[in-house]
Amino acid sequence: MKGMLRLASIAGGLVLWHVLAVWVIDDSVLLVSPLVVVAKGYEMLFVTADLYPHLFASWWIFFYGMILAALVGIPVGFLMALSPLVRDYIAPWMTALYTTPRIAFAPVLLLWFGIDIGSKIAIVFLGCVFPILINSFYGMRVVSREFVEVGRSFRLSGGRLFLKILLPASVPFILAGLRLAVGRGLTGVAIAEWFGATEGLGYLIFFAGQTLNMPILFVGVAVFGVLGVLGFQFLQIIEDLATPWKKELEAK
Amino acid sequence: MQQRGLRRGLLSILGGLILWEVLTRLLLEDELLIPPPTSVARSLWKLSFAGELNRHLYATLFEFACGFSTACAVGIFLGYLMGRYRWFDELMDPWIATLYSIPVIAFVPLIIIWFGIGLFSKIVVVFKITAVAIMLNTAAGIKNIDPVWLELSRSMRLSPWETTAKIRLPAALPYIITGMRLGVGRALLGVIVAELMAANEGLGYLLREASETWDSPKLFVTVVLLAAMGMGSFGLIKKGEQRLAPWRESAEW
Amino acid sequence: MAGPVLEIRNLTKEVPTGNQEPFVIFKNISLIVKEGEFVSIVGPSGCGKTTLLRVINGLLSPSSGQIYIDGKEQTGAGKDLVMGFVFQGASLLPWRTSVKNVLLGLEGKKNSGEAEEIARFYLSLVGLSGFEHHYPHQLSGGMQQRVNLARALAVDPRILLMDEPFAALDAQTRTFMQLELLRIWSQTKKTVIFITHMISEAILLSDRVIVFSHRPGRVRSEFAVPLARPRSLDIKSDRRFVELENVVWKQIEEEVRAAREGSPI
Repeated sequence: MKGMLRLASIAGGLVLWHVLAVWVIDDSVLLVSPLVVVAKGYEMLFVTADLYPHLFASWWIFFYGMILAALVGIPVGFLMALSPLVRDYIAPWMTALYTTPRIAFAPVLLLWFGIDIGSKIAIVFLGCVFPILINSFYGMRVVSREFVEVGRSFRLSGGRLFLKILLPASVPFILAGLRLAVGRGLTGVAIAEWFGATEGLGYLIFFAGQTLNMPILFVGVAVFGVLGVLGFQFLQIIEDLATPWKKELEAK
Repeated sequence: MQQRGLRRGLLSILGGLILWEVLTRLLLEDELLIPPPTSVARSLWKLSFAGELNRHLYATLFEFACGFSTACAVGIFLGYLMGRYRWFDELMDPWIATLYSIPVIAFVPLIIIWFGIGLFSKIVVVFKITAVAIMLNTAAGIKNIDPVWLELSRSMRLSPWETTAKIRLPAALPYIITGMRLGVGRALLGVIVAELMAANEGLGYLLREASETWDSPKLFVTVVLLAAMGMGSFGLIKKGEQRLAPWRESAEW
Repeated sequence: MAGPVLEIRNLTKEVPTGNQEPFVIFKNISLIVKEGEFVSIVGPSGCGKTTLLRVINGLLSPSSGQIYIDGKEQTGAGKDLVMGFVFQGASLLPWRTSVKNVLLGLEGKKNSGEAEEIARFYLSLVGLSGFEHHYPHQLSGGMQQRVNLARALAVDPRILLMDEPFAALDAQTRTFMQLELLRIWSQTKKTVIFITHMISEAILLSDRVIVFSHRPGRVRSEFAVPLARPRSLDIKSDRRFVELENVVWKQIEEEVRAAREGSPI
């Protein structure tokens, strides 16, 4: 029963879409049937295989940006949680960077890093770093309040306390941050590739938009959606595996 | 404690600006890469006097306000229905989840093709982004209501209408505000992207113009304005959160 | 007013469990509560006393049996607000101040000036004058339960149903609140059904103590409390108090043992 309605909703929506595209709008510049989109996707994946270069180009930007964001975000988040001094000095800059729409920095980063992969990675980095940093910060703050006394009572030194207790206990928060970062990273990829790229999924979408190529545009949007869901689910699985003891724990 | 944090924050910003000014003046020959803060300020002054800035600022704010307010109304209404009725939730969920998982800006080209390059397409962008965030959060808030409040409502013999107005909606309010907060950031991003792609006014348009003409003080002015807009809307929502849900500790970021 | 305030006839509550026998929570409960009487129900945990209170209030529907208030049969959660319910835990609405919480049952039924006056009166009755505009999170646990009580009293119910209202409080606050309840009760003369698992609390407060059996809950025995009012903490050392406490304790102990025989706990 539960799944049925969901399936019916999806099926009904697709039929409606098809009807709208074929009989009501009937203009391939405005809307194409889902069947056309699926056919185009199949072609790009298995026949001409011209989706893959774009996919790989986007993947490397995403990958490096994400790794860099984790390498910076986690330690800085920890430092901010453990030292009020660091937090007070960094916080205003962080609020400013975090709340400014990221796209505003794109032209500036382009100016600094050139139109090569460097500026693109920087844009993705800027998108991913804050969810990771903020989750690491909250995680470490919660964990350190909770466990520091336990560690003290076992007479652990600062370093051992960090490695044995604080770090493992904050893993779920970090993973939750990474999970949130996936979506923002993908948005970053799309933004980055819009500025002076010649390949990549973002480029594909904007190129299709400019040339009013609806099938490719929809394929691009769909691939982004699939990647977002896959990345999110993948990290969810890792999170469940890494922290079997607290499934429902979620950082705010 | 609070006071000290504030003092350090101000000190940090002031110190950063001075360092920026000194370094750019000492190390850089031209102001293309990073103009010093004083040139940015001068440029801001000039632009706002020319009236050019106001036009772009108003355009962006107008698009944002229209899209955001309709998104709140529609998002809360549909989110409430999703939270109350299982069948409606199951009907909407696959589509909402799909919309939510696709990066915001992947939609922008599509919306521009459908709704043109004028104000309206930007309003649609803001609406789409915000409405989905608010809808999902409202639904979660309505679903997660403490059952004892519903018992209370029954024991007080409140009518269904009163239960909605006095119990369910206020209980979901913190969730709704969280949805708004998530929506604001993404929507601001969306509207700027849309203006960058196709528009003849707005801060996004200004951003593109500045970057294409290599006018770096102007570029930085736009960045600073966007930062101010981002922080301003974020701060407003945080204020609203403290005002409307004083029993809840609001998140720092 | 002649006749009992509350009469329950053969009330039974079952919960269907798929294709097996229905799960019986309590069975054939009959009870009469007179005007102005304070009746406590004690029993082993899980005996269905809290469920009984919810059925009386119409929050749950009975499987069979009738409930009469002033001779009028109650079916489900009717329109008339003749019962006040004091919940166990934090049931105050966190987005409303104390006075607004108390106003909840009055809004729309009385004009706002009059309603506000009534709300303020009941807040002062429970000793919370000056805290009208505090939010629940600014009040202690004991104060929150006072607001809870004021809210139930403010609708001027025919009968007050209290579901372990002091269970979440610390021991000192709890004792203090029991004395406060004695005072408030003597001033309002309400008819009360009070659920608790604390025998001394039941005896201290009540005219009559009803002991429930283990599941399915039935009335095992009834005791009239032979202690004069007004009461103070001193009566806890009264010989009759101690004897009654012992008798009730023995009965509940038997029920707990009997319940254990059937189950592996």
